[in-house]
Amino acid sequence: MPRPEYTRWSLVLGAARGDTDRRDTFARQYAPVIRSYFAARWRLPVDHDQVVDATQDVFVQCFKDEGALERVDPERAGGFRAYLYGVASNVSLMMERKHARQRKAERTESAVDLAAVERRQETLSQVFDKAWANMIAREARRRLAERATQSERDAERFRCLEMQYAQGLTPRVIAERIGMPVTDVYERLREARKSFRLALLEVLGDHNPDASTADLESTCRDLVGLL
Amino acid sequence: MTRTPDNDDYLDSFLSSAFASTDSAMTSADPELLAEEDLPERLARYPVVERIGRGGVGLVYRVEDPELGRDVAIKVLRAAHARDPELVERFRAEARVCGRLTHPGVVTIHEVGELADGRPYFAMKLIDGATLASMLDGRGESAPTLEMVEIFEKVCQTIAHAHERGVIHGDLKPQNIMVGEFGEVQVMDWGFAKARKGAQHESVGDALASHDDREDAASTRIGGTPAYMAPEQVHGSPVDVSSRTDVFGLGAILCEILTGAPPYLGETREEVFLRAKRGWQDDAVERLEACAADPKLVALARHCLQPDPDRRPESSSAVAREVAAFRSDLERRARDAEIAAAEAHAVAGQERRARLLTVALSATVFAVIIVVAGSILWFQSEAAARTLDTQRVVEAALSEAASARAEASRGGEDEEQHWVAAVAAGRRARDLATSRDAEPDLVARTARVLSELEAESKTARSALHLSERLHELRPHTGDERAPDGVDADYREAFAAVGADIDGEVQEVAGLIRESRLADDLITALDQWAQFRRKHRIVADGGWRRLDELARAADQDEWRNQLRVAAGKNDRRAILRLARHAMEEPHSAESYDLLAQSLIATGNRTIAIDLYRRALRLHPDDYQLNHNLGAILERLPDSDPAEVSRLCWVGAALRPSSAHAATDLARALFVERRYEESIEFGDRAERLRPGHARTGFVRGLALERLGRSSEAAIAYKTAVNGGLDVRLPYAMLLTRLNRLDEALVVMEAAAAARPDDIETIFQHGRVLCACRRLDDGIAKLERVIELDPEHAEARCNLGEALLWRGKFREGTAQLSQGHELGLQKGDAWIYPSEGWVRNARSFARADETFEDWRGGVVEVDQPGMWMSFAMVALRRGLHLTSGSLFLDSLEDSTEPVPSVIYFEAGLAASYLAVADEVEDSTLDDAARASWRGRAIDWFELWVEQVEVALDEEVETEEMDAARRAGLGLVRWSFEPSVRALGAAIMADADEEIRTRWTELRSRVGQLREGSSSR
Repeated sequence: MPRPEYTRWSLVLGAARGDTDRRDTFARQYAPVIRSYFAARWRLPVDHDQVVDATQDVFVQCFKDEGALERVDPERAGGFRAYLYGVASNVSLMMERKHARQRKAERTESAVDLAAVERRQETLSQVFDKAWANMIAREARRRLAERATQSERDAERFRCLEMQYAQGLTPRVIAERIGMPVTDVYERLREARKSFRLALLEVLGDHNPDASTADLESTCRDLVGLL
Repeated sequence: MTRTPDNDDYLDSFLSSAFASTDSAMTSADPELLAEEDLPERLARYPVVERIGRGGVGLVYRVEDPELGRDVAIKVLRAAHARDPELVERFRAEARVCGRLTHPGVVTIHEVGELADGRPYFAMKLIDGATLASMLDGRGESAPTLEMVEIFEKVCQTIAHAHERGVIHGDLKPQNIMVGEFGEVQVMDWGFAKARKGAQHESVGDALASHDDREDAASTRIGGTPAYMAPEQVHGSPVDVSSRTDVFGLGAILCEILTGAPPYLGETREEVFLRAKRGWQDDAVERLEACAADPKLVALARHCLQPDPDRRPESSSAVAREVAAFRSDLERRARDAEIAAAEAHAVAGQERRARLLTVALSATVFAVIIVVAGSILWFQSEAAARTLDTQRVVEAALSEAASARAEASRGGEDEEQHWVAAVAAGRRARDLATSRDAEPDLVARTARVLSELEAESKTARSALHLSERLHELRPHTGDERAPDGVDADYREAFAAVGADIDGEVQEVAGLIRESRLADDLITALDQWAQFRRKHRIVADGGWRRLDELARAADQDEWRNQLRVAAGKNDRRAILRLARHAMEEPHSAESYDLLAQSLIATGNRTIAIDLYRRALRLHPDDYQLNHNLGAILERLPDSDPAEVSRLCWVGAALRPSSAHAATDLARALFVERRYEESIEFGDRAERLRPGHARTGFVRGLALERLGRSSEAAIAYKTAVNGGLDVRLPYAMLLTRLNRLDEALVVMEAAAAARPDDIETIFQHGRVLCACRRLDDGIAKLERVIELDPEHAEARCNLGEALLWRGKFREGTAQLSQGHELGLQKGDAWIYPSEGWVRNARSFARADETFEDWRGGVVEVDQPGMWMSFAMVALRRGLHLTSGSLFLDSLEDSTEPVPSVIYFEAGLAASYLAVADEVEDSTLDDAARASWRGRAIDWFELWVEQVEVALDEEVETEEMDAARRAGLGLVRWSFEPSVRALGAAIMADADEEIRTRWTELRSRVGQLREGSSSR
């Protein structure tokens, strides 16, 4: 059963009201972005306990009673990306303070280099933005993959696209591998790119419901610069 | 949803990202271990005694060997490099080199291993002694002693041994020569050593094979120290580095022994770098020729320092032999001198009297002959000599001008300097010819040459300026310029060479091709096209028009294929071209264009590899160095030292570029090299005053070094230039007690980041400091709502609540803040315990005050009245407060703390401008009376503050200064004080006005003094 799609603010506001499904979607979608940010901020692996804890903390901050999500203002400048960056930034500050206390208490070195964090602020926002752009791309792919479960034709398209971009295969090799005429592979790839493009614009449209097609294309080009 | 884009040139990048197996942003990176500054208790099995050295790659400690009961040295790779495979390998190779080179001049390795955290280390013999550098330090240019020559000979022998074993040191300098207590000489730091291909001795070659095989990778790092480096080493080409590179290093050491300084000197590091790169040795040669050393040693040094490796001595063995021969000769001469001295001493007594008489007579006769003959000859030849001399100096100047002109004609980064030098020499030739009455033909020739030089120079320099202009226009990381403005600037730059971008394609392309700046212009077209594409500028044909022009103007087929591929975002074609570029050499511009296309299509890692490959072929190309540095800087796990190195090269190649200087300043700041960062930030500021990014980088470094006022100016530049660095700027202004300005900046920062805790907190602090207590309290409460563990916010909120008369709430906040602060350990620097104690006193006094007012208790101690007065002031009961202060101060027999006078002054200032207070009406006489008291009390307060700030008791002084500083700021911002001041200046008599003016002036001076502590 495919998950329902939500516009970003409906997802956010639903999650804020306690809708479990929306909360799951919210956490699944944004966890990689937040993890990337923390990993870069503290120069740690993405699966480091501290990064995982901090990511959890962001969600706790968002979902707790009177938490950050409840103060969401859909009209605010900068959109949802700026909002999420603010929450992650605040959580990291709190954790850094906590680590500073522990460092003193334990007399051991901390994994957090506060001075380094301070001097890398500019880079960190770029890391966040890059992770954001990746998230948009991955979400578009996920939607495409879901649709691929609904028809044989969609499944073929997705498979060709995956073989081309994930495995780096040429249409000719793809044709050999899946036993399809190469002209058909080209046809599937063309259709798949079109579907991906629509999925991409859909995801962006969810985050920017009032944006025109031209605006969304413009956003796409901006995001390419972040990838 | 049926949104359909017109084209999908961005799609490939998204697809690559969407189907990537891993997210490059999620790669792990090492924590840079802060504890490196702390001395570890143990390293492997060795208890640590002290740290005795710190280099770019490793740290050296003196440790105890528990088994043998002796001290040894242990070298450990720095934590920051633990995951850099190249540096780890280099570190291990150093141990292997030292282990294999069995020679008295190479330190003995006892053990090689890995620490628990995976970092490699090696334990070695500890040498108690000094480096040759420290021995030479302060010697100046005095002639070398026999000891120095012996040390140098041993260094030569050690290096000769290494060369025989196929190992090249690569970083010879006096700092790497250790001289032990017993005269033993050891060559240290083989971290840049490399195995020479085709070495006769296989064993070390084998041992270092892995290192040797990795030459290409290693070559991206410039090894060695510029002041001592051979030109081929500075160029960074590993194939050119040979044993003669070490011969150059030996010459450099000898140069320092003889002249007191290395061959390359300069005011700045990049100047040294540039001199080393170009092999400019005029200064070194001059010093060597002028030094007091034996000419044989001078000649040897000059021979070793030849820029062309083939013209140096063929081996270090040959150098060692020459030094040995010289030393033997020196020893023989010393022995002969001793013998001669002894013999002379024996006969001296007998012959002294007779010899003195003979010498005196002979000298007199000889002198007379010389003087007479010399005078005649001088008069005869003087006129001819003067003519010849004039001709010689004028010809020399003309020759110099011709030489500089030839250099300038060859182009390159120094072209402009060469033109300046050429014109200067031409002018000098003309002036000399004119002033010394040279032959008319010579005068005319110098005038003609100068005229030609001036014309050529003008044309060339305007082209150079245009080239620099095009460089300045180049889009860069963090570019915040308005797209339309950049577009117009590009158009104007092309118009300067007569190229109308809207003209007929082939015509414009032809014009560009024929231009002296053809390469620059074509590169600029590509960059401009990329800029238009990124900013979706569609006017005037958009990027496609520029792309078309570039293709028409550029005759390079490969680059045109690339343009076509990039235009279509054809990722596959771009990758194919990248593969080709990895195998076949291309121009620097082509590599840059390709790398940028790779980045645009989501292949940053390949782009980085490509840049590294390009830099091996074009190490002198500024754009390649700059762009690779800019990309690496943005990576979370990049090596700051590598970014710095690229920026150093960039700054050396473009000494007049503010952009390059700023890049270097920023890289140095990241490396925490603040002094140097400021040096280059200042240079950038001089080159391009008022630039935002330069201002921010300078501000950061200046602030770290405590140069706060200068930092504030720099931050202001950054903010005015559009950079969002208002928060650090406002915080700095707050620390400088410049609250009016801080508040304005902070308001803007808060508007830009409404949800940022730190911004809200600092905003609240500034509001409270400016006595806008209610606004400040609201902000601080918001911070605590977002972060209940914010200790500083709780303390600030507590203080503000006390001033609002909310003693219980204030005490509770201060107590919580204090408890949270204590958990931070040493990081908590505030005297919050005193604040809590003070708050509790207020809370207690408040309760008693209520009882006293209600008639429940009677109080007759002046001390308690003062407490009541302070409570009343905070509760807004100004008349009660003023009256209590009046009574208590009149009756007090104890010294009164300054804070009491301050608060009494505050209460009085409220009353001095009030009509009604606590259900009472104040008339003019009462107000005048309170006005006088206010001034009296404030004057007493200021006197005490002046004394407190003058005290030299160190521990109390800072606290006194801090407290006094707070009071002084508060006085300046307190609304009642401002109202009092306004009233006095409006209608008070002359005496009161004068007293008030003086008071304000004294407070101003004290504020300035306290904020600078």
